[in-house]
Amino acid sequence: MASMAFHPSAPTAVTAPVDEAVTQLHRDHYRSLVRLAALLLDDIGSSEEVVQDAFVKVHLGWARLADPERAPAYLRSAVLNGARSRMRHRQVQDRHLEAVPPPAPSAEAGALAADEHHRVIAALGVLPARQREAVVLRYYLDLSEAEMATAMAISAGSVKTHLHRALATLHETLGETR
Amino acid sequence: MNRDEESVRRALHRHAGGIEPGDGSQERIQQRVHEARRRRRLGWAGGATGAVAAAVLVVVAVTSLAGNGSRVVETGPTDTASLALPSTTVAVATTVAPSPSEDVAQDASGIWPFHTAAGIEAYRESGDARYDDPAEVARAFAVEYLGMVDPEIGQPVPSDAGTVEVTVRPRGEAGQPLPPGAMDTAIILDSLGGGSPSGPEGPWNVLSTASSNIHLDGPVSGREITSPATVTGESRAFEGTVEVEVRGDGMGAGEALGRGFVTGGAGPDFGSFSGQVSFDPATTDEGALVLLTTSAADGSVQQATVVDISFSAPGQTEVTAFFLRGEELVPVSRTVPATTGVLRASLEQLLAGPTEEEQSAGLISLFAAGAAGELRDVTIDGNGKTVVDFGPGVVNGSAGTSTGSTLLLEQLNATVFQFSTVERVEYRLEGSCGAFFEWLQRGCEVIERPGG
Repeated sequence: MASMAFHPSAPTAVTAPVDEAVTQLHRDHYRSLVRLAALLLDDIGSSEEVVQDAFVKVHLGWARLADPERAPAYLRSAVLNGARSRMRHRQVQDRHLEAVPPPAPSAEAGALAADEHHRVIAALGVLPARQREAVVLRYYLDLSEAEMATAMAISAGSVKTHLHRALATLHETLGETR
Repeated sequence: MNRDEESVRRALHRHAGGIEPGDGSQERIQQRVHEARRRRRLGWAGGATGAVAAAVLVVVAVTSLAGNGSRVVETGPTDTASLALPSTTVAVATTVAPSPSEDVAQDASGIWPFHTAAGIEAYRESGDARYDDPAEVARAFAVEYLGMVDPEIGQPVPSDAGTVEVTVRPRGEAGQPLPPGAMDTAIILDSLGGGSPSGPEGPWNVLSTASSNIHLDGPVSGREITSPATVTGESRAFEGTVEVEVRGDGMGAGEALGRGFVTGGAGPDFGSFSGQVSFDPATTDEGALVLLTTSAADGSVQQATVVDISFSAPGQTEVTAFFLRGEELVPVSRTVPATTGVLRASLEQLLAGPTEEEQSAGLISLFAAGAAGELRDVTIDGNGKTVVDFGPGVVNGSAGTSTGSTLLLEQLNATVFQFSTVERVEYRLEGSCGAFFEWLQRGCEVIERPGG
């Protein structure tokens, strides 16, 4: 230490433990959470907002987290809650905006429409919010029915119902265009 | 079904794999956290005390189109009407009781009539039943909160996750019913009771309100706002006018912390709006943003879009001082009364030293124990040169060692250079740079911003 050159240290080099922890969480989970949200919300802008909201909540509530190891689970749950509330609000608004035509598919989307995966995504987009959420949790996150029930805050029976109806609708929609 | 399940799985993963977030998210999150901390009463990193968040409910009112769009005006989307509303000065309590801890992943609670868990509990114990019927809650909300006159109330329709939706609609001329759709406002109610085989049960609380002609993009539900708040979205209304109100919890129709208006489309097309509304400091943690349209004929409320919001703690600001854990600098946030002298406030907190709680967590400061209040003067000139003058009480023998003096200067420099306006700093003891550095067994020098 005696030989330490005297210079002011940069405040930017200093971070609190909570900041480091959340920075690490961001590095590990941000992209995958945005992808999860985007499967529920269609547009990346809203998805990023929902995920950023979740990070801000977890960051500010860090001291109240009983177990920091559970932070990724809290984050996912905050993202699902945020996405659900956006979907709900959007559907209510859409239902009351009959004069506004649905957004026209972009040229790119049109070019890809023949693509199977795009047709599945499009079909997913017209499912009710809860059914869509069930499909994403089941087939994207590979959650069990019990885990889905916890994540969606509904009973395992309701999970089955949502999933069943969703698949029936998807089957019908995709069958028609196949 | 298996073929479908497989193709759904493949499609989801392919689609998700093609999504790449933009840059700068980490910075945006940190910025928002920083702003929230600055405004909220939050302890240092290890021991956050009750964060104070006030929810603001903003109500936006849209002036209705007279008769089915018969007053069509050729107007394109209009932007940016300023919501000028002088904010009057009101005595503000600077002490806000900590709100109860809440699960970090919880949704924001509702708007009306319940704001707190205690309120719900009191209602349950009272034996009162007036908030047990969703249609009745929607009617009371439309009249008492939105200010509608004798609206038509629809049947409750079950929606997602234990919520129901009730449509309310103003009456036309001479009380004639209006056709469904054009002037509807959907009120979303949340079930606060248990579920039964017949569905969710009351009491019911209004979560939000969406109307067919007022489409609010921001602020979104639950967002913390400060005055002036920016309100964006799209709408169509008579002469394009949408009224905007910021209300605290407990306020009803006719009451607001601040009012203004935005101008969207005048019909038949929607036009985007963007404006700002100023409001008085809130005395509650939470509230709502209310957007309303009113009748051209008699000024009665026609439609409303309402979201819950939270208010930042009034009259407070957050500053950061740097203490030490071993030889590591640790930033510590302090909430102090709102002040323009953030540099001075930060230095005062630095001199005051770590709290007992922080000390037991291993934090120390190299200033003398009696240094609190020994900040004599802080000046900054137009070129970013800052002079900080201390009183004799700051002197502590342990800072006279090589390691000690280096660390003490690191504490000081980190605290001072956190402000980008500070380019260089000179420390003085009782007016003398030489005396200050003599204490540290160094020679007087003006310290430049690192990396600058």
